[in-house]
Amino acid sequence: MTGAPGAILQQYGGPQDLVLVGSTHKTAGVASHFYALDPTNGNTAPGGDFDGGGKLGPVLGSPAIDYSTGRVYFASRQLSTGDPTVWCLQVTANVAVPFGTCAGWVHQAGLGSFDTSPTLRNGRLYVANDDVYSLDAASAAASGSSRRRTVRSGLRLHRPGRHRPVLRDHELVWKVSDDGSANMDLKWSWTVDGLNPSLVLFWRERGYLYVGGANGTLWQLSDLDAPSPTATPLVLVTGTAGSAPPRSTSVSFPPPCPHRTRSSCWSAARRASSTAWRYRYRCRDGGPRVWRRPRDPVTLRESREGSRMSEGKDPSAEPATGRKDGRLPYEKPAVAWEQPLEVQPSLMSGCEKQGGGSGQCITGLPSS
Amino acid sequence: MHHRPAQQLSVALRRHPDVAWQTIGDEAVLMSLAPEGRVVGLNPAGSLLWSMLEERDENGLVAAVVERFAIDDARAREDVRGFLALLRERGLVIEG
Repeated sequence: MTGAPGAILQQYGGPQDLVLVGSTHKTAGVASHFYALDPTNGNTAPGGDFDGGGKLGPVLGSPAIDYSTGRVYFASRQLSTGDPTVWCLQVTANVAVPFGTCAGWVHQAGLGSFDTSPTLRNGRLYVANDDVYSLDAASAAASGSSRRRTVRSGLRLHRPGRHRPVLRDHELVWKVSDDGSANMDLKWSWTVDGLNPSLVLFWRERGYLYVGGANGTLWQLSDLDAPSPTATPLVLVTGTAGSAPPRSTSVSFPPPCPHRTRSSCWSAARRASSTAWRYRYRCRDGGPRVWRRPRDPVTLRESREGSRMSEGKDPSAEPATGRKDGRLPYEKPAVAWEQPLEVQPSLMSGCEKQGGGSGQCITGLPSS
Repeated sequence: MHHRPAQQLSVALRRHPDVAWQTIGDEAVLMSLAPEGRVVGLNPAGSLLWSMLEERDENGLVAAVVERFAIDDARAREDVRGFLALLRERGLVIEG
């Protein structure tokens, strides 16, 4: 079990008493399961084993319950390209079949993987990865129902080793407002080093938000309506505060040229198609090769941030732009930066270890 | 000072089909896939123009810059034309 458990209970108007929890299949690439358990004995309820038709990826967050409709929402990582990652199950009073498909729910493609828990509010379902999505809780994918906020600084580049860049996300706690426009308004984001935040608990009456950090600190955020919240560390203990394990980079590069020697590959380019980046690369001892990877936003961010890091700049340290009147300071439209479309040396750790030759090589990133 | 009447672009521009792009915050990142391909980041004003390139004519682009950045029309028009010329030179847009 890797998901945070939740429950739907009759005392709050639920059709059944069920404990709900997601899992991660121990074999990569195999569908995970989301379970409904009978709280009286801990057994899986009849019909309470859901794998999304073999498409459910690992579940790390907890479910969101809509007692008015008996719907259960949860998010997952993506198992394979195109597989859904935001799920809706209908719980009915029929104890023999607790899970059914939500009527009218249409899976929305291209949202990416989620390690987080969805939140329900005012008929909207909010899910977040590097972006915050606002979905219509009734249909998810009806035209015009989804809104999105890209949180640029939500993706950070760490370099635990000189040539070992690791992309980590989920570092931030965000506050957004959603007035129905296409792009939600980001009120603030907050983080501290090593936060890797847990699920948050909102104490509405006091206006406090609690979030656990991976370093064992429980944070209390207050002044939530201010431009930035006030953060107070409450507890410092040994161990973690229940946060999900950090997701290591999803970046992978084409299979290396034979022998993994630096001199064996000498060029590479990326081409975009409708669904995938196509990397064309050539090894000195062979003809052109093509490798495809799913097209996702990380590719570009990684390229950009990798470039800046290679220039010795930390993108997260850039000063914020914008003026108090809300207008951006004018700067003549121009190219801000530019780089050749080769993989940066900082991403070629596998080749550099081998040494020799002056060519460029693409290889997989080492796991951290 | 005498200004000549604003001259419209004689030919509409569109993004080169070999250019993949995405906006990240207020910055657009373009990936040119030509043999001498490059990855290019545009500043906020450039990103605004890039995002509207195929939906607006020159007047529309100028109006967008004026609206967003509160600068005068003449300066915006000059900058828009310069930027579009830059995109042409780099093969990031094509005519038609």
